[in-house]
Amino acid sequence: MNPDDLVIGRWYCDTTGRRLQYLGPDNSRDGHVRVQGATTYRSEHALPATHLKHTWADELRRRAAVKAAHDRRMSLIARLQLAGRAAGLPGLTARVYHDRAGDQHTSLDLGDEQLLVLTELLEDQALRASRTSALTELV
Amino acid sequence: MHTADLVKGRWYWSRLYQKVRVIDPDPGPDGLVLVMTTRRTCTGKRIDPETITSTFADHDRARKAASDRDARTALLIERFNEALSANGMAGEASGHIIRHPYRGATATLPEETLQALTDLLHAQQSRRHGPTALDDLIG
Repeated sequence: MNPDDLVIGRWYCDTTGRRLQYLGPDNSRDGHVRVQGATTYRSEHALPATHLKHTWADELRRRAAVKAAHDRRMSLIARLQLAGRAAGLPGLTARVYHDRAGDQHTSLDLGDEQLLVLTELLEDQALRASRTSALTELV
Repeated sequence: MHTADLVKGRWYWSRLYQKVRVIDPDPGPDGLVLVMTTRRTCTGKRIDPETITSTFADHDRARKAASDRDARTALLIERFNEALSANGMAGEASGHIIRHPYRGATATLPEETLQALTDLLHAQQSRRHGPTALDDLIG
């Protein structure tokens, strides 16, 4: 963060996810700030101001959003598995994973037969959509 | 393989040495049999007959069958991706074929596609319980 945007006494999150309280600029080193940790790194120490990413409140909001997105995806997976089972496509396995950038993705493992059944359903759906569209134009 | 099943001069598949030709199927006092490997530096070698799993012809047939199954999976992946695209759904099954726990592919799908597939499976189940008037009309 820009040192000018930091507020003394406010808690921030650093690039490694630590919760650190900003104590003021470090006058002995340019671009460095004095901080202290909440649990670990309790003693005062200095680090480059750029290592502070955003306020701790923003970090909590970010974590809540990540968890909500994860829960939403897990719920979607559970519904997909239930629908699959009901439609005669049991054993669908899926998982949520995070890539290196921290983005969430959902991957679905599909065996050959599951691939075939889903593909035929999708092809059928595309055909229906085009027929419906042609019918609508006719009417 | 059991040494009694080994035939002199026949090519076999060894887990450890791959393609080997049996020179002498009678095991020595150490239980090892004399084979010729395809490596230049290692023309005659005494190996544990337990590492020989099948004749080379059988192994080759199994390998070709596995290759054919891989080709089928690759086609299924391609068709699945085309069908997703035809329905305007984002995401794709990877070109990477997985073989464990079963043969197939891993599809990375966004939330909207997961939802759309769930809806598709629900619709499939509904159709099983009886076609709608529109279904009848559009065939």
